[in-house]
Amino acid sequence: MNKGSGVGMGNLIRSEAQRVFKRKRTWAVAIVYIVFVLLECLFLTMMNTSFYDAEHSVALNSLNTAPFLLRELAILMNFVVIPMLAADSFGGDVSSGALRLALIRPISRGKLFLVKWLVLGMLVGGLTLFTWAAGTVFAGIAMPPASETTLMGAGAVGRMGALGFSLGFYGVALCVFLALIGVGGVVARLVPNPVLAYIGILAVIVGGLYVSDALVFLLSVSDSIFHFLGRTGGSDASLGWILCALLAGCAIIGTLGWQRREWNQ
Amino acid sequence: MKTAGKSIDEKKGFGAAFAPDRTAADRERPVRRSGGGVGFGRLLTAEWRKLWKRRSAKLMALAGPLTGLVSVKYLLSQNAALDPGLPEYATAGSVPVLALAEMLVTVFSGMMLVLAGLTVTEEYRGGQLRMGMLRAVSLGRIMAAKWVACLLFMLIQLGTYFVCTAAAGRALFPNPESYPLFYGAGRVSYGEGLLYDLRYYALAALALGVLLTVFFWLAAVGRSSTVTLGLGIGFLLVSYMLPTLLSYFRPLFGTEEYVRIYFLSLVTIEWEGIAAMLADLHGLRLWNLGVLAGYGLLFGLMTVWTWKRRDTFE
Amino acid sequence: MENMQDKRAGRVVIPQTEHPLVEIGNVTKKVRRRTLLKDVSFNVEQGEICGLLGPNGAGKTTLIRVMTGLIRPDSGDVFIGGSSVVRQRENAAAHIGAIVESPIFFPYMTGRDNLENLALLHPNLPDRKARRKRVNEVLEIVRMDKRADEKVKTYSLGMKQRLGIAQALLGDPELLILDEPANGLDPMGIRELRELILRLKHEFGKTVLVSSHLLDELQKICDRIVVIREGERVFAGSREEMIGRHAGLEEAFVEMMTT
Repeated sequence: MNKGSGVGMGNLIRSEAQRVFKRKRTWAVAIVYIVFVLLECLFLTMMNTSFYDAEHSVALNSLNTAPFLLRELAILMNFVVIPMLAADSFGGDVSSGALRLALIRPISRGKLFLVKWLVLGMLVGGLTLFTWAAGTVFAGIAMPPASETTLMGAGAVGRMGALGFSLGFYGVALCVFLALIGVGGVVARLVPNPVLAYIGILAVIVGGLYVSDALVFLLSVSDSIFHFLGRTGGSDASLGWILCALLAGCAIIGTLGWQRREWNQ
Repeated sequence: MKTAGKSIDEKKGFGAAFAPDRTAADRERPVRRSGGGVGFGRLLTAEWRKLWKRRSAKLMALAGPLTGLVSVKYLLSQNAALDPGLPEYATAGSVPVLALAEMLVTVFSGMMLVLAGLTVTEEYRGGQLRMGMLRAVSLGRIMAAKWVACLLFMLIQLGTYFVCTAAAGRALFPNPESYPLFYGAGRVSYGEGLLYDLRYYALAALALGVLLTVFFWLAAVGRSSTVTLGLGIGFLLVSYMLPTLLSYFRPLFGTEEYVRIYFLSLVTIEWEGIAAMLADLHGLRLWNLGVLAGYGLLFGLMTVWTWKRRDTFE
Repeated sequence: MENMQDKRAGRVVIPQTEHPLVEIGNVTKKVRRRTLLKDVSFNVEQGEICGLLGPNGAGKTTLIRVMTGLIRPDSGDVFIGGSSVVRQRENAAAHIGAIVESPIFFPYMTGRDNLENLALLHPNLPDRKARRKRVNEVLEIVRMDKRADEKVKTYSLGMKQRLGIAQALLGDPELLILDEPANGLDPMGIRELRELILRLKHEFGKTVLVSSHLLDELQKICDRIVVIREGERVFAGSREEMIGRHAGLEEAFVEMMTT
């Protein structure tokens, strides 16, 4: 027996991924989200207009549409998809006792936390990538063609510039989603009951507003990212470092929390 | 619901309703329909106590007055920027309503969802309900008892919220001779205002009761408590987004038509519809009541049907 | 410390070691001023079946949670194969296979899926081939190979218990900790379980710690019995020692529980 050598991250990830992806619920959530992506595409063709924020509307064309899909979809992501997945993964598995069979094995529990985060991140990342791809393809087909467009903060850009902007936009969005998953992990560490964990995550999103305006990005994801990328100043200027701090904070609290906690469930 | 309120037995705690050894008095009672030898009152007592045993229920009960404080603080800060002639300007009489409008859609609706998720889905999926079912109490009756218990919880919450905000209003806010109501419903004195507040709270309770019914159905079909919550939040989001979407098509409708469609959503009724009902704007009083009744009946019947089916198949 | 022999080399031979496989030393655990375990100490030797006996709520599961590193003792320590559960949990865990309370699987996966999933978490099963082979072996040991490809939610309680033992065997540990494994089993199931535990000892050289609140269950298979009551160890010794001056085991147990 090679007791000392421990289990590689690869196997930990595969084990967790099996548990997540063999669950019908995971697929149901993903399919519902994808349906909403398609509905959103339909909605944008009908409107031909969207908003950077409450004050700034913008006419959509084949180049600038992709980021605007997230305006409504990010709410679905932050209020339904992520809280549900995170409450189930960090809270439900623990409080049902099913995770106990993994916890008694010779693996690091801190790593187990990170792996859970990573696997949910891959799922949410896949959905984010799909949103970006659907938005880009769909805009090319159904929106008024343009060879140049103006984007908040980026000025006039061509095809490549617009593509780069949308990739950057979705990249930051993914970081916001990852941070929220991490928040879910920390909340579920405090209240493993999945119902309360779910509500706790929502409370962090809404309650963040009362703490500081700089936390508004969990609520209005796309507006904040536009402000951040457009360098319009204001409370969203700090988005970058707050995201980093949030990711690092959740990683540290979660890992230490899982290493040190008592598993009474 | 065949209630037998007289049989609420204070001395017997939770579990007594399910206890197999029935007392002599129980045995004398005729056995009721649907095989339940247990009166509805006792089921309700059992559910009520079970609800309060939860730490989360106690926390929620505390959250009520606490959110009241938060919104009172918010109203104080808002007043500084508002013209005292506006109905939005908080006075001693209007604080209870303004503070509730703040929290009705979010906190109180959220509480209904948590109650439904915790008491129905979690117990049903966790198997605790089997204990009751084994003792030949029909699932439908247990659900009815749970629904009434949650409703009572909500009424108490609203009551506490009213008392707290009314007291804070009296203590911290100006109390003018009279102040205007929403939607031009006239000016009222402090006393008349409190009556208005009570009517507002009654309608809010009605709307929350209907919402609770919707959530009970979602809890019945939800495969797990997180699914129930996801569906519930989804329902609230859609109820919020559809009226917003409708506003893009505002020019296509006449005013009467538009407001009627607008108030087809439970969230908009909670948000703006109650004040509009009290002012009877565009005949909305009857319309909104109709919408509430429609939701209540539809989801109530679907819930009953779902549990009836479960009774026979599981 | 690393003086355990490779079991694969000689399965039936019980290795002779200087230290007992399990050393439980002065373990105390309190939760909110309630003492769940009070200064509990005993050892389990290589190759023996040790029964942990006590009424419901005596602290058996708490002790097993401490032994498997799910909770930490307030004071004292548990050494498994020479490794401290408190300070070197992963090393200690490599020696253990366990059922803690009832085994809860992921119900939406098949029995085999669950085992293959958990097999990924064992350092001594590095590749897919080794994992497949081990899963088949343990399924055969507990005689679950025929139903292994059905979803766990269709299993009876007895089958879940057997699958529970199968998952405990996955890493080929020296020590098996079985928490009330007979709970919910019918008399036939209990007999099969008893035979399985004896087979694990004789055929595979396992050391077994099995807890129960029923004396009957333990006395037929255990080499040694540890009795705990209200979190305290009231007896540790062989079956014969327990009977001692009493008329029988039953009387001895009743006396321990009442005085």
